[in-house]
Amino acid sequence: VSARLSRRPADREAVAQAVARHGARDQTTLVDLLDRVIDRGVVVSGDVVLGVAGVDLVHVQLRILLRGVDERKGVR
Amino acid sequence: VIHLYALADAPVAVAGLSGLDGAEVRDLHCGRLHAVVSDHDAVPAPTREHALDHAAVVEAVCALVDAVPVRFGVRHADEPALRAALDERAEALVDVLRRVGGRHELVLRATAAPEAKAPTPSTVAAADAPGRSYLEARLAEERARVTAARSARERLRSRTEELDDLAVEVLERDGPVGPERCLLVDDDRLEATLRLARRLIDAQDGLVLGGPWPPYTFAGGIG
Repeated sequence: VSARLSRRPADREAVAQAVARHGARDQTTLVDLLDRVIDRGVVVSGDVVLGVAGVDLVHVQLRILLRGVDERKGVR
Repeated sequence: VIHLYALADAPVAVAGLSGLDGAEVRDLHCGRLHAVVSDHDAVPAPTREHALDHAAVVEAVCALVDAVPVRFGVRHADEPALRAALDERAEALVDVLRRVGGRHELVLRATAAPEAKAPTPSTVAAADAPGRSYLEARLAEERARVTAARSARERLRSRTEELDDLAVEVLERDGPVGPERCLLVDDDRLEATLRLARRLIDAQDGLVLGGPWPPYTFAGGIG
């Protein structure tokens, strides 16, 4: 299911494939994962590389991508 | 600069892990915590590819030990700065680690709704009228939006609450495409939760299941 079970080295494509395989069985949950990676999780102060504008830009792009995927599937 | 991926309270066998831009990932022992980091000459760009690289390292670390995921994009100038930040918040971070470490996050949400149409001329015709009418029309639109959002949250809850007994914690929040229910699930209940969740989405149109992922949503809030 996740690397917890597969215990493979970090691999971007493996994560994307695992999302598609075990999430909604399509690519729609990639946006949910990216939303978590960018917006959630512990911060531990430091400098946040992503400024507000950067975060918004990434999210806008992801939302557009997601809408396209969901609309092609047909909103049920 | 130092890029931070995850925190654990035990050593992490990171040998062979590659991080952003292929950088070597290492375990930095800081008091009660072990920070999983990589070193970079310049600040890594905030790209989708880097975000996925970050996610891959976090997932690999969580496969090895109980760990807390760190939000993508947090950097520290050097080791002393990172150690100072971790020392300052060690107690709170250890608490989070105990609460979410070793657990998984799942999300359920509805598929994206079609874009709302722009207000038709009839709904904003009052813009030509005195301001009061115009503002009342806008207020009505806003109330309708709030009511629709509440109704979507309640509908999602009623369709998925069967899962709640299997979760340690459930969070309802607004995600990037609308309301979502996030479940924090113990490792030994993950398969049972996934089975039930898949049964629900197979039986009901328009539901999306995401995860399992490291518990990002449940680890947030420490700054």
